[in-house]
This record gives sequence, C-alpha cells and structure tokens, in this order.
Amino acid sequence: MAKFLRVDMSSLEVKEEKLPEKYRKMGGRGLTSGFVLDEVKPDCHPLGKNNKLIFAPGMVTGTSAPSSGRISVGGKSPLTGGIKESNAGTPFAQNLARSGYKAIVIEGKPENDDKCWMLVLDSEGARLEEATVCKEKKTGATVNTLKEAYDNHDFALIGPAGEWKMAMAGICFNDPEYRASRYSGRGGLGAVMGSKGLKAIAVEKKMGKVEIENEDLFKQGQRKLVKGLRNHDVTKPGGTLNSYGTAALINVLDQAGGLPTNNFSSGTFEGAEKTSGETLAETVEKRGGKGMMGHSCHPGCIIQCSNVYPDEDGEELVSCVEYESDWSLGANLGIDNLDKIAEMINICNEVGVDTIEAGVMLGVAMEAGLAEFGDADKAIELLEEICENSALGRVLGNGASFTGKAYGVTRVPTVKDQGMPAYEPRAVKGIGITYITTPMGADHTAGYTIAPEILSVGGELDPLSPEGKAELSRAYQATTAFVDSSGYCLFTTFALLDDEEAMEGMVETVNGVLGTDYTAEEIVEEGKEILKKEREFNKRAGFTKADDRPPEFMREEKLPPHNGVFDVTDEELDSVWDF
Amino acid sequence: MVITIEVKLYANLREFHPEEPESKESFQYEMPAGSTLDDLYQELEIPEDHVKMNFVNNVKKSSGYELQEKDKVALFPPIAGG
Repeated sequence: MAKFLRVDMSSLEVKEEKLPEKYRKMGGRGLTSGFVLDEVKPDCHPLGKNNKLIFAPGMVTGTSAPSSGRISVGGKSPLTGGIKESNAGTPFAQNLARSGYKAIVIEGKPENDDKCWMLVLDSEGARLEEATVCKEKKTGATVNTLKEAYDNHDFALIGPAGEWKMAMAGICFNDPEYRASRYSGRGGLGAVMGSKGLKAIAVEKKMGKVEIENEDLFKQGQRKLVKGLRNHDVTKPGGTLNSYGTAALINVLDQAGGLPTNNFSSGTFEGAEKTSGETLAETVEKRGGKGMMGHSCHPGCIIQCSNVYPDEDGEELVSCVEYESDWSLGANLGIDNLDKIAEMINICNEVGVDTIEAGVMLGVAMEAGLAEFGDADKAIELLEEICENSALGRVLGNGASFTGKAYGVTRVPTVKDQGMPAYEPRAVKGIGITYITTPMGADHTAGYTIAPEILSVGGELDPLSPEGKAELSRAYQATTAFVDSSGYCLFTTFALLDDEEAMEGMVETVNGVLGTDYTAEEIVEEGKEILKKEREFNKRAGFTKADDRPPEFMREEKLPPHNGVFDVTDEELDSVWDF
Repeated sequence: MVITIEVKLYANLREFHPEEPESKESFQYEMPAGSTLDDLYQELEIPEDHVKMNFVNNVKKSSGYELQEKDKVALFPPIAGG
C-alpha cells in the first residue's frame, strides 16, 4: 500500500495514511504541489496553523538510479505568499524514500512555542519527540547533537533563522559526511517549519527498499542514463562540473555580460576571475588538506559537482562554494575574495538562510548605504545581525524586498518578492521570462533557458534576443516540473538534452519504478499539469498577471556592457501561460 | 594585412595557452586579416570539438565569425551548472 505520514503539530499526533490513488504515480514536486493545492487554504497566513509543509522524495529516489537523491519541500511561501517547491540533494531524500513513505505532511501549530520537536522515523515507527535541547542552536551544532542519539539516521532541520520565522530561512539537510550543508533554501520554508515548532526530522537509514514495478525496464533505463552521464563533457567524471564545480559559470556569464554585479547595475565584474570556478579549483588544490572538488551531495551521484573549501591551513571552511552563492555574496556585492565569500556562505548555512536571498538582500542593503559595495567585512557584520536576531537582523532576515521597502530602495531585483539568481534578465532574455512567469518567484531552476541561450546545450540561441523566448521558457518550465518530480538532479538534463538515448533511459527508469508508460513527449505534458496546479494555487491566493512583471528598473535602466533594457512585452510574458 | 586580437582561455582550454600553459592571463595574438575563430583554434592547436562557447567583446559568436582588429576573444570548453 502506498502511504504517507500526517503529522499534526497542534495535537502532536502522527498518523499513517493511505496515499490517495491520484497521487500514486507522483513524486517530488508533483506531489508537494498536489498536496498544497488540495489541502492548503490559499488565503492562509504562511506562518499560521492552516499552512502545511510537505516533504516528498522523487519518483526514483532511493533506487540505484544515478544522481537521483533529491527531495522536494512544498508549502505556501512566507517570502512570496504563493506556492513554493524547493528541492535539495541529500542522503535524507534516499532514506525517506526507502522508509516506504511517499510524503510527510506537517500541519497545525502548537499552542505555545516554549518547546520544539523532532519527528523520528525508524523501524519502531514514527513519533514526535521533544527537541528543546536544540532550540535556537545553529545547524552544525544541531546535527552534532542529534547524531549522538540517532547515530544511524539522516536529518532535515532548521537553524535559528527558521525558528525566528525569518522569510529567507531555508530547510537544511545533512550531506553524506554529516555536514549541515544541503538546502531547500528558497522561499522561506524554514520559517514554515519553525512556525510549527518542528526543529528536525530524523529518518533511519535503509529501513526498506523502494518498490520497483518492472525491474528489467528500470535496469535497462539505468544503464542508458549512466552511459549518457559518463559520456557527456559536462557531467562525466573529470568533466567541467566535476573539476570546477558550478562556479565555472562565473567567467562564462561575465564574458556574456550577464553576471549581475553591484546589485544588478552591471553585467560584468572586474573580480570575476578571482572568484571563478577555475580559481576555486586552483585554491583547493594548492591548499590541500581537507579541501576537495568533486564532492557528492548524496551517494550514487555520477556528476559530483559539490566541493569542500579549505582555509589557508587546509582546514575545512565550508561546503560548498557553488555558483549561485559565489555570485550572490561575491560579484553581486562587488566582493572578489573567495575566503570572505566562503565565510559568508558558512554564516548562512549555520544560521539557516538561503544564500541567494541573503546575497540579493545584501546588495539591496548596500544600495541603501548600509555598506559600500566591495566591503566584505561590513557585509559579514550585516549577516551577523541576522545571527543575533537584532532589530536590524530581523529586517534583513526577511529578504531583499522587505529590506528594500524598509530603506526606500527602488533597485530591488525581485519577482513576487523573491530575489533574482545569478543571471541578468537584460542580458539573457529567456531566463528573465522564467523568473517573471514561474509561480515560484524569481527562480532560475524553474526553467533553465541558460542551456541554449548561453551554454550551447540543447540548441543555440541569441541570449540578447527576446524572439521565441516565451515558448522556450514554457517548454523548459514544463520539462523541469517533471524532472523535479522524478527525483533526478536537474543537472542530468545537460546530458539528456544532447543525448536521446540517455533521455529514453531516464524515462524508462521512471516507468520501471512506477509501472507507467510515459514517453519523452508525455513527460512534458505531465509537467504542464503540475504547472497548472501551481498557477491555480497562486490565482486562488490572489495573484494576477500584474505579479508576472519585471521590476520597473529593468524596463528603464540600461545595463552595461550591452546597454539594453528588458524588452520582452507584457503580452509575450502572458503568452507563457497559453496552454 | 595583420590584425591583433586579445585572447583569453578558460577552464581546461588553458593548457593551450601559447606562452605559458595553464595561465589565466590573456594574450595578444596576431592573425591575418579575414581570419575566423575556426582559424584561431587551428593556430592555437585546440581541437575544434574542445571549444563550446565563443564570446567576442562580450557577444556570443559562432566559430565562423571573422575576427576584427582589437577584438577581445574568450574561448570556453563545454561548461554548465546552475
């Protein structure tokens, strides 16, 4: 019987329920968004008892399918006020899938917040236990404390920022070596978990096996996909993702004039080389010690794009310096020092906030005059205000839009109040359309048109032209909604887009696990159904076309070096939803 | 007639740096007028399939692009991420 767990934080009861038939072929994002639309009152307060928080591993997560250890977390976002799905790669995802539960639904809210709780899921069953000993503890210390009592478990947890209900708080997971470093960072879901008094979830490892309906088909698909990932120049062992990490994109976007710099006021950054993936890999190699490139966020990943960044003595500083964090706390703030960027990533990981939102917020704070662009020490001081829960920290901890309002800033790069990631919409039009039209708020992963626009993967398009980009964004958003449901890392798509056999293999693994007969074309249609549900939730929550618009300054201010504005018309933006 | 361009190589293409392999520094390079990016790969002995992205003066170009005096050229291998 397909089942899920329902956890009522008002009565502190945990119940096992049969998974409704309509959800049986779903996983990951499809499942979290299904639950949110069906069960969450669209007009509820995101931090109130009527919001729900849903954890769902992907369709093939927990099997031997490569690079598939992803988990989706969903709910109504305190940052955007709309639907949210944010996913992460972690062994927690694999072991939750192996527990036999397709999802965990957290609902209700305790009467008072003197205590906090953890959900334990092991061979003795599922139960809530008091976790007040971890109250307001940072993430690293929380994992270390929990590990003592639960030594064969993986964890989902929040830092103090989540307990303080800050709108940029994320949900943290452990990596294979028990670092508190993998995040469902976006959209403030950590604050939703905090509002429910839930500090952590512990899941015992390998409680069972994921059921596979057609083992032969699954294995056939798995072989094709492994071959595709091992052959593609981007995803193969020793390929660019493995050797340089995602930060290899810093120099690429800088050369394309699309690397947002000094709070989205330029598309190129003088310090790009110093903060690039190439310099990162060189530094890791030179310093040696505990540093490494080619680190995995979960066992069974072929790509291995994560890293461990060492300090000058070779001691571990943080895991990991990835493109988005490197940019948001680097180029976006005019900061060209990798050690300082790593220090800031560590502060964010420890207090429990999204590094993208933190960097975009700091850019707005610098615009407001709270620090000079390029002043890393002052930026660190501002992040420390969040850790102290000071009045200023409470403003900053609520994200870029909130900070912009507090200080009267007009150059605020957000959509639906969520900070924009590391690609400039005025220099790369398709990704701008994705930021603006996805129900998630500005999110590059929702429809990564950068692949054909910049990277020459899956086609070749002019990034500066708006032509045909609404269709492109729609197609990418639909495919992505399915990939986010499958449990596969989005980076597998770099191989899938260029290799038909690998794509076929991916679909076969899904069909093998679920007993479905999807074709490559049908998964796009499935993705569209997920998008429609998410859009419907936002509509019921009060969103209109007016929310699918760029920040005004991007229509008015020309961005160097191309000196263009965001010239995609409102009609074209709306046409993304013509399906 | 000869033109002078500025070239910068990235990631594992840096092994093809003509003056100092693995160097991150850009270099000045002379080419006959009318040369294309394809010709530049040949000159630098970079196998054609090693180059995935070209940017000239911050604009994405195909390998058939005809180089101009003082062009700033950036060559990348296949790279992706998020």
